[in-house]
Amino acid sequence: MTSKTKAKPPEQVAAKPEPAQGPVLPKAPPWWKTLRADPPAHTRTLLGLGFISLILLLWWFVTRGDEINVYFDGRRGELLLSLKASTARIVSASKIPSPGDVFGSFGSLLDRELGRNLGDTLQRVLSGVALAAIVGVSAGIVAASHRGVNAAIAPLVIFLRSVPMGALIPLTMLLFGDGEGQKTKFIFLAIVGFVFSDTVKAISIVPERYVETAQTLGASRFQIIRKVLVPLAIPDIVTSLRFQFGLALGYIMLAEEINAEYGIGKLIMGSQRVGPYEHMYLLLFVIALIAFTIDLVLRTLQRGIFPWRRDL
Amino acid sequence: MSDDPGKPTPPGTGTGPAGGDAIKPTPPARDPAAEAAALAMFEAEETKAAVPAAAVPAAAVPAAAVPAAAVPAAAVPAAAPGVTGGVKMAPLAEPLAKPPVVAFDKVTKKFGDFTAIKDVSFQIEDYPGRGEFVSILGPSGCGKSTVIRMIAGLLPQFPQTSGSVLIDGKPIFGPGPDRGMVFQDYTSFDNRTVLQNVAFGLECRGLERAIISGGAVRKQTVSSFTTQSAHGFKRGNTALIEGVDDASFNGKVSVLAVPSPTQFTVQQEGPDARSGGGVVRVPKLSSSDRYDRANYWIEKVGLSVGKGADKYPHQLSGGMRQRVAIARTLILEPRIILMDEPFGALDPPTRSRMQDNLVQLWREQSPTIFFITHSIEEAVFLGDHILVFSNSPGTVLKQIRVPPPDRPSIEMQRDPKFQEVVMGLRETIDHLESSNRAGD
Repeated sequence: MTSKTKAKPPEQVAAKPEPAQGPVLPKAPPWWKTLRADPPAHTRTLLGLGFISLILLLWWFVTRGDEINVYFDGRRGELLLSLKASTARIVSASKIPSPGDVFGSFGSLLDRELGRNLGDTLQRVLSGVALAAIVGVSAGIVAASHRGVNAAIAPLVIFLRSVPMGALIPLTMLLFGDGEGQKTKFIFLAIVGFVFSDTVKAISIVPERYVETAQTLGASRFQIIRKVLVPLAIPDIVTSLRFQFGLALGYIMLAEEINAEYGIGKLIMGSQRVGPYEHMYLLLFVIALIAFTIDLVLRTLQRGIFPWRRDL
Repeated sequence: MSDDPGKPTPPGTGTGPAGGDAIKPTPPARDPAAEAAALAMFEAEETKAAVPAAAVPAAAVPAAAVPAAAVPAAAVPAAAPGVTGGVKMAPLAEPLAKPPVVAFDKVTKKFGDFTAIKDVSFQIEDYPGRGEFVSILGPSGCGKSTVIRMIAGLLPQFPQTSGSVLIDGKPIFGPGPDRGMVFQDYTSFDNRTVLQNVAFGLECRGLERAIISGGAVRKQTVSSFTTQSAHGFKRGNTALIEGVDDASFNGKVSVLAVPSPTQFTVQQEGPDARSGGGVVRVPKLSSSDRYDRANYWIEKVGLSVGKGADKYPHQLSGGMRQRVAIARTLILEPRIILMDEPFGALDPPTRSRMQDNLVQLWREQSPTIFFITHSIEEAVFLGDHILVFSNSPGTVLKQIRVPPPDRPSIEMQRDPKFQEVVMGLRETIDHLESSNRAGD
């Protein structure tokens, strides 16, 4: 990302000075008139926050006020209408609770052992991704360097990548039971194919001229893999793992909703079945926040570890 | 170097105007006398007169270059024009009888139906203490790159379809650090700093030095080895000796003493013997040792260690990157350096400075250099042996000898004599090309 050097503040555009004295300097067009130009960093932040605020505002608007309930009183044989407040609510609380109710339920969510559930979920994702990284990356390095290996395992990998995630859950339960191992292996199976393919791709796109240079400098085949191909490909491999981690966080919910004692997925399922509904919504925010934070941390780490890659 | 497999039509008989040269509407090719004068200095060299020493003001040539420049005159007559690759390496240091550094004999390379080069033959002789600077000129796609990638041992140009390619009389088996290569593209490893880039070769192979022929001598249980250049080994270094003609010298040894910069002794069992050739290698160098050497070469190619050594390639200009590439190659002190249009992407002032730097480095280290370029000026300035290639299929049209550079690039190129030479060569190339086209 080449963030532009501090662009002029937007309000400067409108003010036109009195008749120009001397030659008129042409002005560069502003970013919003330039295709593919990034706005200045603070404008980007503002735009992002503004859009989220807009959605929150809409949410607040459709859930404000109180309910109009129409119900049938069987004993009296009458249809009753209860209007609890002066403002009618647009979307029922049984579908979408109001922002206040959702965020206000944080205390009660903590009481439902949010920490423990979150810890379990993250641990499952981390161990699954770690296993997939170890197997997928090393197999990918071998396959990218020796294309015969790639030709041999590529069909298996395509199969793995196209198996529906949902179908893997009953399969892994059958094979690995219903403990932690099953969840780790489910995550592993769900992403290892993608990690493998991304590793092969990352190594394949290292330009051949680096390999040739290393050869003319006396590097052996193993040294070329270790000192040239892998170091040049590793930033892309890490990027792939970062994306897969985000996806895995989504997949684990599936597994946890089906069978788990603890876990965010289990919490969501419970909230939907026995309530409170507010927790369902709140948990979505918690997951998004966790995913965002982890991604940010990994990205920052990546930039620090690979200073020579400016595009990370 | 009178081996001229192309069409040896004498210059000056061209019929068409100089094709690519709009500046000169009246080609001097029309005037045999002028042409002869312009080409005299090269043609004379082709007939083995000691032209460089005579034509070039001796004072301008650094001391190291003078005796070297004089040697070819004496040496060339001894070399047969045919391939001497089969000749066994002489038992004593007798460079004149050694096989050529590089010998191509009727080399053809085909890619499917496409013939990249056809019947390419030339020899680059080995002169004591000084490698030749061979410029390769020719239009795009004429197989210049094929030739040097073949020497480098890089696929798919290597191996040749037919003919023989010999380095020091031996066939090539693949890429090796004895043949350094500088590409036109920037090939600095992005993930390594300048220092780490330059030290890459030492990190991979360690320190490697060629053993001169007759340089391995064993008396009782002590063997003494003489290397081609200063080896920089220390007492106690573990060294691998490989490829000496008498195999009893080969093996893993520990350096016993270093009596001179190019000599070292080791304890070795075996009968008294004398042999040579092969290489000695200290595979493991400490990182401080590596970086000391890298810093030396960084300075040598005109980069500042203080300012540049810790930078990453993306922080460098094109010229600086090529300097890194050159330093990275030179640190291994290869016998042959292959340069594929290394300065092609540089702006003219940078290019001139790089040329001067290259000439200086070449004089100091004296490898044999193959240098591909599109610029006749560059070829004439840098080279002392020019191979002119023609198109489809690529073949050597002409070999020309020119005096080696004696002044900085800009100064030399301003010299009318130099300009005349370039023009003459341009005429020759145009003529050879047009007659070659007519023959197709």
